[in-house]
Amino acid sequence: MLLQNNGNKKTPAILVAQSGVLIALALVFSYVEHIIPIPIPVPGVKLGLANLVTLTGLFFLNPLQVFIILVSRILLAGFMFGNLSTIIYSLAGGIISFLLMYGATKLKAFSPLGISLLGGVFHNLAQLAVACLILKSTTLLAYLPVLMISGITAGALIGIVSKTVSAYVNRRIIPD
Amino acid sequence: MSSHQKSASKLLKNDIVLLAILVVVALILFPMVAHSKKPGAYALVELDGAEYATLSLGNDTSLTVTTDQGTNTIVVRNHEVSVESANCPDLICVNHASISLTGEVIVCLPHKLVITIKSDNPAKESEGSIDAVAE
Repeated sequence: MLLQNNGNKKTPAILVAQSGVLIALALVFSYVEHIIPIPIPVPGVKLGLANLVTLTGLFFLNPLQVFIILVSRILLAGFMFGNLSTIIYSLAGGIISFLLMYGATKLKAFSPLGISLLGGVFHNLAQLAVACLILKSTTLLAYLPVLMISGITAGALIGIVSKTVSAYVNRRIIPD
Repeated sequence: MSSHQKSASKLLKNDIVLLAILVVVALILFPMVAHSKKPGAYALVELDGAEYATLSLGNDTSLTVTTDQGTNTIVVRNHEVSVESANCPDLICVNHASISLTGEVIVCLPHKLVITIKSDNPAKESEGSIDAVAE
C-alpha cells in the first residue's frame, strides 16, 4: 500500500517512508538522464524524467508532500550531479511547473497529457527567464522557440507515460 | 481519477487545444528570433553579464577563460568559434556546434559564460547596439 489516496489517515512514518521511496525514484531518473545526455546542444533541452514522479504524485498525494519530494530531489541531484547554478535553474523550472501543474489538476480541465504539456513548457520558460536574469543578457531569448518545442515534446512524452502509470496505480494499488 | 475517465474525450479535446496553442506560439516565435544571419566579424565573450574579451574571427586563436566557477577554452579556427574544453558539469558548451554567423550563441550556464557572434557594423544589429556603440 505505497500509494493511497486517503492522505488524512497517513501516519508520519508512512509519509516519511513514502516520500523517501519517491525521492529515491526521482533521483534515479535524474541520474539516468545525467548519464545519457540528449545530443541537442541547447541548454535546457531534456526529457525531465524526474517530472514523472511530480506529475503522477499530484494525482495521488498531498500537494505539499509532492512539493517536498520535488525540492528534495532537485537539491540532492544538484549536489550530486550539478552545482549551485544548476540547482537554481532546476528550482526555478521545477517550482513554476509544479505550481502550474497543481493548478491544472485543480481545474480538472486537462488530462495528465495536457497538465504535463503545461509543466514541460513552463519549466523551460522559467529556466530561460532565470538564465536571462543571471547572465544579465537577452541573447538567450534566441533559444525560446527551441525550448518551447522541447518542452512540448518532453511534456507530451512524460504525460503519456504518467497517464499509463496512473491508470495502473489506480487499478492495482488503490482498490475501491 | 474517475472524473478523468468520465469526460475523457472532453479532456483530450482540451489537451489538443492546449497543444495546438503552444505549437502555434512556438512557430510564431521562430522567425522572430531567426533574424538575418550572415558571417560575423568577431566573437564577443561575456562573463556574468560583463564583456570579457572580443576575438576576431579572422585570426586563429584560443582563449582560456578561468573564473572561480571553472574554466572554458574557446578556440577560433577557420572563422568559426567553438569551446574546445571546459570543466562545467553539463558540457553543453563543448558539445555545441561551431558558430560563425551573427547572432549565434554558445552558452555555458554553469560558468555564466556567453559567446556571441557580432558583425563589424554594430549599428545594423537590432539588439545590443547601445552596448556596442559604448565600446
